[in-house]
Amino acid sequence: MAKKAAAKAAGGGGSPVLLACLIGIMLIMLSFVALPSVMILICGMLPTIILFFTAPRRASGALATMFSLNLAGVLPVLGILWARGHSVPTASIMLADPFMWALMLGGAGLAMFLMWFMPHVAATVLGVRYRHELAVLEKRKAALVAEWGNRVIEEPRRQ
Amino acid sequence: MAAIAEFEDEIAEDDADTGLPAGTIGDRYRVDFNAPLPAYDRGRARAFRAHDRDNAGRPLFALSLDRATPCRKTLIAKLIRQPVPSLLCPVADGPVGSGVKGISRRVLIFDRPGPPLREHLSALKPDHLEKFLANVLLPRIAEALSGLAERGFAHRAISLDNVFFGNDKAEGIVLGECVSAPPGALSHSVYEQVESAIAEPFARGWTNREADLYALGVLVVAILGGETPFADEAATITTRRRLSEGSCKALTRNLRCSSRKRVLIAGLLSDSIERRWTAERVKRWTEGFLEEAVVHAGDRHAPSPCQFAGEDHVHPRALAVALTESPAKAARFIASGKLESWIRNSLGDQRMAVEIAEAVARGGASSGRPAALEAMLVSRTALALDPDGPIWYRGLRLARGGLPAAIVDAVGSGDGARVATIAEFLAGPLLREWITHEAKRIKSERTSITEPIAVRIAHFVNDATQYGKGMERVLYELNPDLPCLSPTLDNAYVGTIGELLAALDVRASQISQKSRIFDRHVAAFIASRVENVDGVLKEIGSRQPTDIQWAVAVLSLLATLQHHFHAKSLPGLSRAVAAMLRSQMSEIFSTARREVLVAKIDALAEKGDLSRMHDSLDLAAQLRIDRAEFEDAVAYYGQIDRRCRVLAARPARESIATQDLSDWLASSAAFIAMMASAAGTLFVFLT
Repeated sequence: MAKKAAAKAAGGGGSPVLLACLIGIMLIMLSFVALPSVMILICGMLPTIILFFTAPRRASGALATMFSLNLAGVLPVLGILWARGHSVPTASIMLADPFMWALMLGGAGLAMFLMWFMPHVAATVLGVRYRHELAVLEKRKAALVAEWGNRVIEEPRRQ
Repeated sequence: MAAIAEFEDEIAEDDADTGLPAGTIGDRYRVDFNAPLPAYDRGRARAFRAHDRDNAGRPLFALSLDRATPCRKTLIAKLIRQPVPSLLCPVADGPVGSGVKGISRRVLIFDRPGPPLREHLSALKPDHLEKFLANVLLPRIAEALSGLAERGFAHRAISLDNVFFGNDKAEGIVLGECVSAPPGALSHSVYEQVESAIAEPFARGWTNREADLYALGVLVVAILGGETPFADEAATITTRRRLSEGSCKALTRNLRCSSRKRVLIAGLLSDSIERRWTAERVKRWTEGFLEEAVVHAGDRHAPSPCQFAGEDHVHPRALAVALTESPAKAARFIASGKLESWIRNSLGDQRMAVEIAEAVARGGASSGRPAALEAMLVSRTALALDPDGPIWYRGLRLARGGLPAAIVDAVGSGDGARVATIAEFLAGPLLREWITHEAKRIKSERTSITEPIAVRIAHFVNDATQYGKGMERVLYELNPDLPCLSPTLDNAYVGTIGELLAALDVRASQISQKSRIFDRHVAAFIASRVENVDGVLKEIGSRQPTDIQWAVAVLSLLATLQHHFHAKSLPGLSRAVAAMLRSQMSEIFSTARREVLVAKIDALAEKGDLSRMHDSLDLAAQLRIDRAEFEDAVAYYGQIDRRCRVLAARPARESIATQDLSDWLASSAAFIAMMASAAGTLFVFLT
């Protein structure tokens, strides 16, 4: 078990790097075909890239949220780029436009907000569910005591 | 009919006055417990006035039997059917008191004789004594003894206290009753032959008809002397003198009488059964014939004495008695070899010497407590010295056939030490050795306990802690006619299982602690009278009365008995068993099951049918199911409790489940947003 865990830990350290390398190679290859889009993607997806390297491994949900919403912000910018002719100067102009940055990082901001807010929502939902389950179980316990007396509580202690 | 009603009213009044039960025997004889007649008391049996409904003028008395005194049941039945002339014979026998307070006493009804002879002895003039003996006393007693002999019995209760005048005018003679106690139990030891004289009163055994003639001889001496000879002396001292000098010489040393009477006395007091007079010779004497009698000179004697405990002994049988009086000294004396040497060289009895040498050798080879080994050595030696005498063991002296009644006496009198000694005797090897010894000497089938019975008895004694065994079981096994001696029954005379159930039914409603209705005596009585109950008795014995399994086992046993003996409704017992079950219902874990069972028990208790109660409740199965379900409930409760603690102890905010749900919600929302953005961008780009 310990060996397995160690191997998993070792693999866990190498896997994101490998993925990053793969993505990097794909982007380099893509840059030969669509350099302006790659420029926008790299700049726009910076929050996701940073989170990818800094977030703990278990925070895959957060990474997915960040990736999805960040991409949701970058996709309209890419659409605009393609509409304006898909050239490096256009991409450079757009990257100098704060509105474009706001659009791209807004998605990341929204992701941050969701990551802060959703645990509260989940805790409230689960709290309600747990309280209900506890009440049901307490009722069952009371029914057992009513049927079998306090011995049903004391018997396991004796054993 | 009016007479009957009046009769029953009187009974009811008596009952109210005395608190004792009242009733009739065979709807004819009524016992008046308010009118005791102490002159007719016999041992622990008490006499009361009785009335015959069919003959109001007939003087009767009733003897209320003591349940711890075994009576001679067969003889009672025989004498009621065929009375013997000149003998006080029972006219009726039966329980009295059942149905009124539920406590029955066994009562024998007798025709009331005149006053006891003893009270009027001084009124008899010495000149008339021979005439009285020849014409009145001896013919009547001889007639009574002959009548008994024809029926196959001996009297074994002849004594000065048990001879009565025929009526209140002191006419005629009647020999007193002989059925209310074991043979010889109520007589002074001098009325016993030397073989059984030092045995315990209840352990004097059956002996034989010749013993009656010996007792008749002592009675004659008592009448001539005005009192029972040596009545105040210890039995062992008198017996040793009788063994040394012969009974005739020992008992008549201070008696002055005619030579004719001396011949009668010598003939009757012969210690040799073969030389003792028969009833016919007594009759011939009364008719004036000249009979001869040889005075027995006592036991054989050695030319030189054997010194033991500071006394010189020349008679082996008297020495046997002396040895048993100082067992510790005797054991050392026997082990020293002096006794064997004296027997071999002085008495010249090689066989006896070998027996004693064997006893010494066996004592050395046996294991056990020193006191018990000492006692066994002395016992074996005494038996070798006096083969016809009673067996001795640590204070016990038992004549042939005397063991069953001796146990009754010890248990009935509550003498724990004596019961323990008897138990030790029964569990040890002495009983079997005694049986072998008796079998060699007498050929009669009614000699005593047989070897297989001895083995069975030893088994019961060794399993003393088990219910239905121990000394109580031995008591009832050896005394098949004995009533149950349970203290629960409050002295009621309960002779059969049917009577036991009826008595317990009544007692059950009277005592507050219901579990007391079933004790070791009741268990042993049932075990000895009913087959195949040892298993359930073992179950009862292994539980405490506070345990429901105990009550269930008792119910099972009583239900079996009620069914097997077709006993009528037993509401008292049913209610008592119900109360026991109810008080222990807390052992049923399930509340619902408990409530159902209690309701069922209450309903069934009123019907008095234990058999039905047992079958309907099926408590053994109920307890088994209840236990299994309870164990499941305990396991389930444990699971729930653990889950509750998990839920209560971990705040939802910190739980992994919260994180997972949060991630799922956020990523889902993000994915939807991404898809919407992609769709929007594509739409704008294409249009």
